[in-house]
Amino acid sequence: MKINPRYYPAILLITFVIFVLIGFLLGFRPQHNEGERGLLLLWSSLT
Amino acid sequence: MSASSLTKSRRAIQWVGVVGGFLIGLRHIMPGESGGGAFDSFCPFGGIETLLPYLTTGHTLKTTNLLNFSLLLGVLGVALVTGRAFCGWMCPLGTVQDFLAAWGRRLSGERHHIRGKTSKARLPLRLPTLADKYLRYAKYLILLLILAASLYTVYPPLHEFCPVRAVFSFKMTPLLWSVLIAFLVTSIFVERAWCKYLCPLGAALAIFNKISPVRLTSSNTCNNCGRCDIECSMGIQDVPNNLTDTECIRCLECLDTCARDGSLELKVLK
Repeated sequence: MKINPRYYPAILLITFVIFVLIGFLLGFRPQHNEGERGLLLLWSSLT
Repeated sequence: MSASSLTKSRRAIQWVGVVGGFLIGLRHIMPGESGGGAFDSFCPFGGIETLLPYLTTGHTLKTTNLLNFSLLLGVLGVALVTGRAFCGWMCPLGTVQDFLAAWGRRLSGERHHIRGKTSKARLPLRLPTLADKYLRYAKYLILLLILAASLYTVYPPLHEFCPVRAVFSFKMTPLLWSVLIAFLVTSIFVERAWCKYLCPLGAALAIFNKISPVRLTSSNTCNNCGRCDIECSMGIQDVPNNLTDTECIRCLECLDTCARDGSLELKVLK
């Protein structure tokens, strides 16, 4: 399917924002100290 | 949309990244800000640097935190959809290199850049083909070394050598000054030298060029005029036949330069 290049910048920005928000929802949020939250902790506890 | 407006959109997004980089750098020299290393926590590559330590110990490296993973996810999301477009459209270091290469062209005799036409400027230089080919593998080696080193370090392995810190952070060390000078000089002499040969984030994103659904395609109306080759800042040769090359940063300058409607098209592949 052909895409009009005019939408390319919007595709990039929207994708970036969506995935950053997914990261936030997974618990990867700004912290002042070293973090221990997030789904990756589950992995680290298994290894 | 006219060709130049696509470039204008790209430039606008790129400069937002540059201004953002400087603002983050400024924030960390403001009174009341302490700690000194939090600049790293805004770097998507910091997510790669701290990934293995986090998986094995549950702790991030010093000067990084969980925000790095969210930013890395954002960059990986863009890569998953469009390949290395982050490098071509959003990376502030790439923008600075584009600016320096254009400056170098002007310094070496180019008055007006005519799109798709070989410049008379002496800069930027092109490395010999063989050297260029093999030096491009260096970034993959650097990525592997950083991943291995990250298991044994307290700070992110690139912390003291990072050109992003050198350019945008205002907390300089003698080593960062050296990195800054090397970065500025090489960027003037060789277009996107950091992206081509050294950037470990670019190395990590390269594979996505092969699998991303949003990509350029060429048709048989292409007459191999070579205008796109001239405009390619990554120095890819025979662009219409190498549209999924791992070196492509999906900047769309080739599409913008193409004089034949329909020869290059942006598509979503099923």
